[in-house]
Amino acid sequence: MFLYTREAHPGEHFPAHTSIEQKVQHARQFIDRYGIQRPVLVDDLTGTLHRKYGMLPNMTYIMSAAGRILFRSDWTDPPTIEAAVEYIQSARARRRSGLRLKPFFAEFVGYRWTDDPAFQAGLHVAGPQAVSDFAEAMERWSTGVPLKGGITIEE
Amino acid sequence: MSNDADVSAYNYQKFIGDDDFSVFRSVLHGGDQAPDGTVIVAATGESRELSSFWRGRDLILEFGSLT
Repeated sequence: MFLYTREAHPGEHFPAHTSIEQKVQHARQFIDRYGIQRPVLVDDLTGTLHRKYGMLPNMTYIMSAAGRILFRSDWTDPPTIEAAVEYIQSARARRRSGLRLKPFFAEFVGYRWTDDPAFQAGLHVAGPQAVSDFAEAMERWSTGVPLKGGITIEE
Repeated sequence: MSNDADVSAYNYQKFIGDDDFSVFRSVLHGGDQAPDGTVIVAATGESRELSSFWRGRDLILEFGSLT
């Protein structure tokens, strides 16, 4: 499922939300424009759930049927989620086969593909302001104010 | 209850790119109980608890916006 948050890149066509009705309307336009098949849920106007989950623009979580967090990532990368789902399914299959498995805590570094042309196309949908604001941010990131908390791995 | 200042601070009008990704690593962890809250189903407009979508089955939840 998808939880609709604030507009990450507000522009003339999709400005910052000022009412819950507008936020729901943007979510419906999101469904129509991109043919979203998953149910789309809408957070409240002050981002109550978004804040609790880390307030980043495109996170993904996997919850168990009891509401336990099985996976969380600060960006959304489909192959990474697929791998996580396969891992969860295989662990359950091993359990069903009779193995005694004990939960443990683990972390890993993901690698996501950034589709820059698609991203830029999305900014144009939002409007010219979204395009120019992002260009300004790129300039700042490259001239001494890097993205806070980003990961760099030397290969 | 929310006030106008909360609404405009959260719903920024200009993208700055100052999200702090390190905060994500301090709020929740694998194994924690997922926070619950009320959401609106976009297609129907009905209010539901987020937990009603994971009760009895796993839930993959992506956060985002059209922009």
